[in-house]
Amino acid sequence: MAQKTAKKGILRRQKPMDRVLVALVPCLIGSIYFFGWRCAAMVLVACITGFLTEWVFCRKRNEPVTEAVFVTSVLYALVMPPTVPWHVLIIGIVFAIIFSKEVFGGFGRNIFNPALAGRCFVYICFPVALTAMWSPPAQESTGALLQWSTVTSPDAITGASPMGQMKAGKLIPVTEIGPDVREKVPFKIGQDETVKIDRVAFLKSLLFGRISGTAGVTSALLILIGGVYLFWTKTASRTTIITVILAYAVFNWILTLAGVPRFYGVLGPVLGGGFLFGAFFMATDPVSSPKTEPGRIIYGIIIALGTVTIRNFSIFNGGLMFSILLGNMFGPIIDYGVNSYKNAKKTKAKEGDE
Amino acid sequence: MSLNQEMWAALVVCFSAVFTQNILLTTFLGMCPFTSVSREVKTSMGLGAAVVFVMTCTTILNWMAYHWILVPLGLEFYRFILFIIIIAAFVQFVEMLIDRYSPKLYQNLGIFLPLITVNCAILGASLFMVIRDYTLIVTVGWGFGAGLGWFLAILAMAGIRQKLNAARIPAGLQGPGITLIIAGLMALAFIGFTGVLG
Repeated sequence: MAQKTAKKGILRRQKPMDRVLVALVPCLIGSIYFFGWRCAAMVLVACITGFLTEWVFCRKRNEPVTEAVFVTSVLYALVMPPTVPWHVLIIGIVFAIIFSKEVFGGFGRNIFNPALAGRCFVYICFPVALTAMWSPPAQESTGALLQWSTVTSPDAITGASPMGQMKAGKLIPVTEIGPDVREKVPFKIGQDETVKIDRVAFLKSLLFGRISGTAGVTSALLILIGGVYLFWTKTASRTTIITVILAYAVFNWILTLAGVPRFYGVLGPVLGGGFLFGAFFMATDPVSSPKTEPGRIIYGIIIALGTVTIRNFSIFNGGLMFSILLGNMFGPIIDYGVNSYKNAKKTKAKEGDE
Repeated sequence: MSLNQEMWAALVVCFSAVFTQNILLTTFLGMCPFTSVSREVKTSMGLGAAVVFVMTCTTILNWMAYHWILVPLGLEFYRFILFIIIIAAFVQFVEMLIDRYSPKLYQNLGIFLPLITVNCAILGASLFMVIRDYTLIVTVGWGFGAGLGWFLAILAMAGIRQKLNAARIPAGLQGPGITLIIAGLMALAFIGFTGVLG
């Protein structure tokens, strides 16, 4: 990719996109450490495919390709399972670039977050590849740095992510200590088996990320390193990040207090399943999220509400992905409402003055 | 079922009609006004409100006509004709009433009311009600929820199309083309609700 970026007139550099790419480095390193070098290859393939797809369209318009396409591709590759088949990966990114970005006229004009639209598309089209094939994380201290992939035999890839197991009621975090309470998140749980796990140990593994899951988002800590950088430099909207996380925490807290089954407090859902990744990197996409500050608050609440509903009550696990798309969908009308409310207030104030 | 249970069922059906079984984004009914009248927020709001009202009332009327007239006579197969007649008659009736008592609302809604007669979502809602064997109270929830779901969808679409004014859409895709692509992406997001509330 380096030679391509060096050529003039093909690629347009964008400062904020540089920062997002830097913020994604910890997650990328984490994915290689936990699941092997295949993850790096996934990111590379997604970037090349995404770049070529965009280039085909940009050439027609006589424009340089924008750097945003790499952000889209990296984000997209990092939320794929480490075992994702190559054709699924490529189909998704091509769909993302063409149908959620280029048909609207390229960078800055898309309605939906391209990375998520692409993932959602392959999630629906190839449900087995995206929801039932996970690879176990490397257990050695050197991680998977010496391995291509952590999948050693074909039957090692039919686990479920911890969030999926929790939703199915198979994995139960508990606080008391007993002989049947485990310290480690198991990769595989039998058909009729339920596993109890120490709550603190569970949260720890969500934080450090030695669990099965999508390539780059298993570790909350690595996401936070990049996320705080974005937050600090104001690359991502602070309002959106705070609202999404806070509203989601509050909804979970209320449902836990209400005693709804399979709700175990606030920290687990917030740290797990790449929620933070979505909140910091996906929901804050400056193009597809609302432009007004009150709009961003409503948008964050919609995302949080949708995530709680879909994650816990629907047949799918990818709650945040669907709800960010829902948020994108209602974003423009929220902005419209906020703006017309403001205008109405202004004219009223003017009338009052006269 | 007791009355209380039925009210609860109606509420659940109403919620699922808005989200899980959104009549526009999961069954793709009522696409023609959705693509043609979603250009401005104000007009689509008017149409949406009219749809909510008409859908709620016609599903109730059709339920009565079906269960109190057609079923006792054993003429269930006439339901398509009867439903369409009832919908058309009701829309005409409402139009006259609004015109008489609230000319202002008539001016805002007037153009869309006749259009609604041929909105397949309205007929579809009545037919779903028969297929799914809803009771009268549940039908109220269903009709209102289905209308509200349609309203939300067209509102979101109108907002998006307002934003699209700044976009450079390829010439071949302008108008209905891009609208259908957006509708597809919206439907993709709505798939997520599958399974919520049974």
